Amino acid sequence: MTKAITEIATTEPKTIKGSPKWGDLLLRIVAGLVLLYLFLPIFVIILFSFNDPKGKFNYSWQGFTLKNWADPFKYPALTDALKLSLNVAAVSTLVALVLGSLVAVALVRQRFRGRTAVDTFLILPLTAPEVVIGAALLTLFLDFGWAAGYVTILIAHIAFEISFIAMTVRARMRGFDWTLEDASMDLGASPTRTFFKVTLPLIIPGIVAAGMLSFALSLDDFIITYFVSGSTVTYPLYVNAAVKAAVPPQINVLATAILLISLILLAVGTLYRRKRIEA
Amino acid sequence: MAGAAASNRQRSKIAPYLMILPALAYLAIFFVVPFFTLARTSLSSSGGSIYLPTLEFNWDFGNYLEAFSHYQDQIIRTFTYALAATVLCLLLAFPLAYVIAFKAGRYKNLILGLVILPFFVTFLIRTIAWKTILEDDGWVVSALGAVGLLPSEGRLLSTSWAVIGGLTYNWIIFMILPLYVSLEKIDPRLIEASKDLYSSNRRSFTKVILPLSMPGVLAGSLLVFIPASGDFINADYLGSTQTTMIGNVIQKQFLVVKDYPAAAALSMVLMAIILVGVLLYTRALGTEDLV
Amino acid sequence: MSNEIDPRLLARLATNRTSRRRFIGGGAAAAAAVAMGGSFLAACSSDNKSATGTTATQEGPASGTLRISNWPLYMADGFVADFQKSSGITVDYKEDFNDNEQWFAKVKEPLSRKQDIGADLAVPTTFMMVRLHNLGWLNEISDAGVPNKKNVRPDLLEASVDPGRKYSAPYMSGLVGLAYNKAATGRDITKIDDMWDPAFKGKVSMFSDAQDGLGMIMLSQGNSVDKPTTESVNKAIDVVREQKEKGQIRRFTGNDYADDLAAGNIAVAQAYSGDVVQLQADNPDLKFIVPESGATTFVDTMVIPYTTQNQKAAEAWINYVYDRANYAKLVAFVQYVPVLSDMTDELNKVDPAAAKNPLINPSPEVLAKSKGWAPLTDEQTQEYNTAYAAVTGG
Repeated sequence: MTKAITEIATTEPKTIKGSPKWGDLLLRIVAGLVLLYLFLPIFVIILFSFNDPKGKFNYSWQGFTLKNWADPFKYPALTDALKLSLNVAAVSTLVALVLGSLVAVALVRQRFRGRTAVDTFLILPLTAPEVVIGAALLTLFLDFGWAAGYVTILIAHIAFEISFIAMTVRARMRGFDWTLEDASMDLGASPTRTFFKVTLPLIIPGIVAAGMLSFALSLDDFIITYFVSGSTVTYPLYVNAAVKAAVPPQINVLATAILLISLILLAVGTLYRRKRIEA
Repeated sequence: MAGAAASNRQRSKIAPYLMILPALAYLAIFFVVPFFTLARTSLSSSGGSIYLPTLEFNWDFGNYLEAFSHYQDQIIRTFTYALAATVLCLLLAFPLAYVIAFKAGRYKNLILGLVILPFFVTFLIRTIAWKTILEDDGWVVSALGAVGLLPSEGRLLSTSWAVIGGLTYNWIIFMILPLYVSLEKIDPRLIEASKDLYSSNRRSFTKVILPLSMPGVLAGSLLVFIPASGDFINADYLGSTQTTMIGNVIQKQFLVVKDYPAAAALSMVLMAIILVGVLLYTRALGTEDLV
Repeated sequence: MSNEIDPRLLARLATNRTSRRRFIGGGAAAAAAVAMGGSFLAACSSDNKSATGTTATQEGPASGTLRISNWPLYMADGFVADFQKSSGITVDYKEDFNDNEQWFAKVKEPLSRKQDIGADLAVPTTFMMVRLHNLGWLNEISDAGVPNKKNVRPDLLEASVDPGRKYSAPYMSGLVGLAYNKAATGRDITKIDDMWDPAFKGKVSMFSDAQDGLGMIMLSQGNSVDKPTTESVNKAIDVVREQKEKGQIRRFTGNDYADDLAAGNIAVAQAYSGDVVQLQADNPDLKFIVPESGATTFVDTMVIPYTTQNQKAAEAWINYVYDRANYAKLVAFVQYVPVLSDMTDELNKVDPAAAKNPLINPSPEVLAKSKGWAPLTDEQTQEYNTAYAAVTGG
């Protein structure tokens, strides 16, 4: 039993052996093409970060220059907005992860009265159009006497992230072997210890995935944020507003910089894991 | 389902309620209350000042009738686009999620991280980049025209397909990740065994892999279809005058025409149709719960 | 006879922009701005002294913090810093004003409850200003606080939307005309009917805003925007509906036509003059014209909401903007039509090409053909918006 648990609980990457070569190759090619599709606009964005437009718009290629990269923080409002959005995304994701994962676990683990109702209820925030919910939320905040700003943005983001997280974590948990928990408790672990030592590690990939989705959602949200932000400016708010007047290449530069930094972090993380496994 | 096993242990009766309480309480305040306001507005008629109307709640279902009669085209179009985008997402995401889960080996997390990176660049910048790629005189359109897939004066932007493409691109990550977490859980020895058992790969897929990945398919489909139905911004930037979705109508009614009851009623209609669709879908997939 | 820019002027404009960019390039930006600001400071310090001198008759000069909510990139580099230095007022400058109706939807609730909206001064377009005033949400702008008000163009000072400009201070104006991509059209565009040329099917864009979109159509039908009626508005809407159903119109846009125009996806677009000046720098094929039958103008105005926390500072800002030397810097950067009179001399000092550009410094003939909308009642606004939304909004 312990061996089985260890085997299944390990997060070793898995490979399938013995598949026919051409089918395998085709599959990899298709996957590669999809990855390319995902990155096609990114290549354009990176390219245009080196553009040298004479006007305020960055729509037609004029020539190559490094000066945008030399001065990426030329527009302090843009940089500030980006920092704020990253902050809001991180904080709201953390809170929503706790709330949403708990719900996911509770819904899958056992039957209880009201389970179907909660199920249905979780879908609702996803279906509501942002413009009306944003306005209604603003009215609510004003009724409470809260000023629109950082806190209200956080609150709104957490609200719509919970459902996304719950559904993603549940996708991980369906078909979960709950007898593992029983075994753990039979062996003398308390329910809490079981949760942290057995359940949680197995659903971590789901939580990480949900966290990534939630982060991306928060970073991109425009309409709801617009209503509840008061005069605070987040990154999508700034870009959406600015784009109508000008598209400074600095937007591309900062976007590319984020990508590069994330890529480096990922690469480092991968190398680190490899070292740990090989050790 | 192999690997799944329900617990036989008598579980704490109160635990689930405690676990769902924080999230429910949170949503009760910050979603249910606004939603209630919305419902109430949809059944009101507005009077008085145009900008600060007094909304009189009087069970006025007229707004709903109007929503259905005036905006049928947009409603049908919206769900057609959302459905098309969902199917496209599924077709594109599955191979990628599969390869990451089973064939990526030690680079799994790296590629997964790569997959989500494009979505840290804000929507508008991605869309502008797509418009550059798909512009009328660009190489993509010219190439498709040369091959004959597009009429000679044809264009890719400002068409239904551009809108569907935009919806697909912007929501595909919500299909890839749930599919991945669902697939990654499958014990690869099961798949090897099934390949030994079934003579062809196709049957191994349809009999073993697909059913085991259903939770991911379900979650992914919902997480794409639902937001895509309420989307308006892709139709705004990538569409034409003939591709408006219900989201665009709601935006217009709310911001410009300021007919708040109409906007509210349209929103309720949108939500109701989505809910019904989701219920039917989950029944069809044979799962007992919604998610 | 044609209203496009002389290509030689264009070339001069382009080179001047590049040279100014080189001047303001890289890390030297801050230093250069201060240097430039410094010299202007010396030039206009006397004016400022007299301004504060006048307001000293009230309870002391303006001070404290001023929160401004403006459209993005509607401000010259270093301008805010110069104001802070010369006045001692700290400015919290936010570029969060991106769409009139969206902004209104956001501030309507707090303003109706007399709650602070985070701005002591905002810059809505005229129709929005009228609406805010009718709702009683604007503070009067005192003449004592803005002695430079006399510099404003007389036609704007006496405008029917706010005679004497008690509640609004014009900030920047512009022309709403037609822009076209000569490479895509193959010919010059001169009148509204050119928009409906079947050769441009699916390559025309129009504004989704009722006033901006319908104004020039109404003028081409012989009706005035000074006295709009249900009939005249609907007559214009009928034309739009007909063309939309024929597939002539590709999109209804807000300010987001620029990339389509630059790429050639759109051949003829309703456009704002300042946008086109910018696009022309990178794409000389683009032209802006005032149609033969006339164009409309827009005026963005500075207003002080009645929830402001620093009325005097807001007025000091307006006064600073209305100094011709300061304002020239704004115009040279933003490249729209100035609201102050007699700007040619000051513009020549900052950017001679801008002074000669008919889109920035239009001739009296062009100005005569450009009309502003009359202030509409709430009912009229509602009626026209709803009717037009039925065609544009789907």
